[in-house]
Amino acid sequence: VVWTDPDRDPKADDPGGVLRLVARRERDLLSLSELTQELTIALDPYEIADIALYSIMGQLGTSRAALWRYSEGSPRQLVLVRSHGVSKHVATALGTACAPWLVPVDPNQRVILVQDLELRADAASLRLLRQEGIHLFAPITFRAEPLGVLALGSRIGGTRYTEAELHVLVTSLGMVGGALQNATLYNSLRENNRKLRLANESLKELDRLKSEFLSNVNHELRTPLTIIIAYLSILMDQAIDPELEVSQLREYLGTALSEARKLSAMVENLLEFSSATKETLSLRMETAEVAPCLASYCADRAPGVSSGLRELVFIEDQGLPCARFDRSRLLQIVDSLVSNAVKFTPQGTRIMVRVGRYEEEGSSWVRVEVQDDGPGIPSDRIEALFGSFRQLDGSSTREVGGMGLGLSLAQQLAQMMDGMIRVESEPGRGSNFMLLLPAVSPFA
Amino acid sequence: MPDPFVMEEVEALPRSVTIRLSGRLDAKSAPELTRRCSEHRTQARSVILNLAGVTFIASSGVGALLSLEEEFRQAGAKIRFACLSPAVVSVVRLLNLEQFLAIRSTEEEARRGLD
Repeated sequence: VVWTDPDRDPKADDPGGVLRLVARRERDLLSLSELTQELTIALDPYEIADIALYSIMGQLGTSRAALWRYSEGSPRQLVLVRSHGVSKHVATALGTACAPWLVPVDPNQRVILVQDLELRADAASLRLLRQEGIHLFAPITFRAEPLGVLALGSRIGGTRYTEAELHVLVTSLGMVGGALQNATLYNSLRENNRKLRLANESLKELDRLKSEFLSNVNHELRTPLTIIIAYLSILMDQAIDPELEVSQLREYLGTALSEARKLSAMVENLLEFSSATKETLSLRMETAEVAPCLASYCADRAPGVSSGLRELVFIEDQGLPCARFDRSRLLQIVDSLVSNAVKFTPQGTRIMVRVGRYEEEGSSWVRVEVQDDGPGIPSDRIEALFGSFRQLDGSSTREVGGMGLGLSLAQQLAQMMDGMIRVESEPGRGSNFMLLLPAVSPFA
Repeated sequence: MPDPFVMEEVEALPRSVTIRLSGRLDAKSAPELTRRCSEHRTQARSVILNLAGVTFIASSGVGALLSLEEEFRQAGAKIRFACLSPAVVSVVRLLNLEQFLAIRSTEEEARRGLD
């Protein structure tokens, strides 16, 4: 198609026309230089589309334009980026309707006139294109790689675009393609940088936790050993002393024994933690009521808790369903929660173990709550609670012993029984650790 | 930037608003202008743009004016352009846009029949 427009391609013997043409070319150059300047600093695809559409509309004197980009994957879809003079809704529909015959676009073809589409496009799309006054499509490419498509309405006043104008259009779109590619590269670089930074931070955190753990373990394992050795050496020295009273002997041996047990429990914890992490821990699941075994646990545990000047109370709701669980693991979890409550609360605290029922989104649970009215946990620390080797006070001068494995292990055990542990806490209002075990219907 | 782009709303009536523009209407300021005018249109207000202070209009500025004209026309709303500065007049003439944009010589004239 040869476009001619007497006003835009004047005869040489028409001085007024020639002057207009020169002014027009000067405008084109100004527009292109402005577009280049603006595109080089734009890094957002929407901003680039705005700049491109407004500039091209102004250069060519049309009031309608839209820009789509190709989606990733296959088949490639046309996704609307921006439209002006064509409603968003219509432009989105146009992208979907036109994608089948605009994809793949021949990278060598500069523009596709709607009037030439009769054979390629379906009747409905053609009707939509005519109704919206879309005159042509032009591919946006970068190094022959299709990036998107621009649609342009007819020129205001109805005159056709000249060859020279289409040349300006193609030049502009070349720059737009470069800018879009730059923006994509820049944004993916930034995203990758962000991911790397996050990965680096979590590695650093892991490293810090490892050092903290090592120093905790070192300290925790050494303390009982030192005590055991001290008492055993006293006994050794005094074994020949006939003055030594049996009661004192018993006390020394008792201390050594209890420290040895602590040590053994700790080693047990460590080994179990590592096997739970490897998911090789074995479970003996049974379907039973939860309350009775916890009632007897609390009865056994209460004297120990009250000797530490804290109170342990057991409450059981009526009519509870059974649950599936491993009895010894359940006790291990509850004991770990109770021990934490003892460890991290001041004397005089009341600790309550309560068994109840809990419904959520159609799931039925047996809920074991270990509640205290102690100092509570700051909300920003709650998430960190279940991490391994953590205590809220990570410093080596912290007051409370332990390796920080208990909660992490408890959570893993709960998950292995298809349950979970949740925590609710507010500074000054105590903490509530909830173990949820899937309820089993008695009719099932 | 020698001529920062400024939009000053001088007369906001219930059914119409007059906005005086000054500075460069280019790729940076064009989207701002369209956004502001679209807001008024969605509140069913006609818009009068006073272009007396526009020192430079780039192709993207022209594109924005054309896009606004189209948007208002489709929505059955009115947008009028008043007091075109010489910089705007020369471009509008060059592109033969006089007959497609509602151009008035004064704000007064542009407001006529809108409220």
